[in-house]
Amino acid sequence: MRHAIEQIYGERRQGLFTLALAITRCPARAEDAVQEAFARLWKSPARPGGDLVPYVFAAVRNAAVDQVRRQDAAATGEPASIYNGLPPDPSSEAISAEEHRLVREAVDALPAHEREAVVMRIYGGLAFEEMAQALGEPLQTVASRYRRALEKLGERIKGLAGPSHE
Amino acid sequence: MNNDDIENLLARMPLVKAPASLDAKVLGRARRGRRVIFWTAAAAGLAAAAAVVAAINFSGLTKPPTLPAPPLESVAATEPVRVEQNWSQLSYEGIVVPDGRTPLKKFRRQAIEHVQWIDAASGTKTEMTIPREEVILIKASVD
Repeated sequence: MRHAIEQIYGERRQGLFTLALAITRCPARAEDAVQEAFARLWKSPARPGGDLVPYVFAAVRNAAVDQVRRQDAAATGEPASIYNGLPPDPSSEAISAEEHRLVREAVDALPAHEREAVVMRIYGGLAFEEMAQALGEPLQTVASRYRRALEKLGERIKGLAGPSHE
Repeated sequence: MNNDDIENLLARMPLVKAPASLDAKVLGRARRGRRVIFWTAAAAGLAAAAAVVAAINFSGLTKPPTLPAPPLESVAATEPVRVEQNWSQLSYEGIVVPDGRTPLKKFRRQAIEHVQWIDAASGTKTEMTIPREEVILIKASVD
């Protein structure tokens, strides 16, 4: 099981870190959460019968939630985004500075559980079924939440739907 | 802007990168865990061997057979620590129409994977660098 979990870490480390960051809103706490989650996984005798990927994502999510609970409210600063704060390279056409700003603000403004759903799906690469397993919720609930999050994002960034992006 | 457009846009956003130090923290713990298991197994093995010797002694044999001791170097061996660092960049290369009908957005992702195995016991370090390049084609929506 260790080898399988190491492999999942190797393949999904960025998605796992982004999930932890989406919950803690602090890079240092996100790093601590991922480390803590894997420390628990190495010790845990539990062997889920099915797919290990949702199990690992659930462990990171739980550790991130624990980090938030332990967080000293008086010590919190500006919540960190999951996106790089630097404006994109002007020579890059992958994404414009305006797209970057709007999407960043829109995702940051989502309710926490909807942001989690977006991160799990887009950056974690989880299927709805895997998300449902990781969150311990019905598949339909998770899928609806994700679609609702996309609708909200679409509303907030609809100004981008110009011909320059085609 | 439909859901596919939003998903494509989200996928292109530059994320805060997972720090390279995370690999050592996460995987280092796994290796240490393995070493604990190894030492526990080694100790258990030695205890079992000692029990066999004691049993033979108590059976009345005048000269117990000598059991082969585990080689010292196998007990002292530790697994090397693996440290992995990855760099990647995504660049947009414009619209392409490979089949003459469907316009596709072309992205090129270039990545370098660098892995080190550091063996504290022998003081050796092994490195491996893997360059990768992939072209990603995303269907461009036409309004």
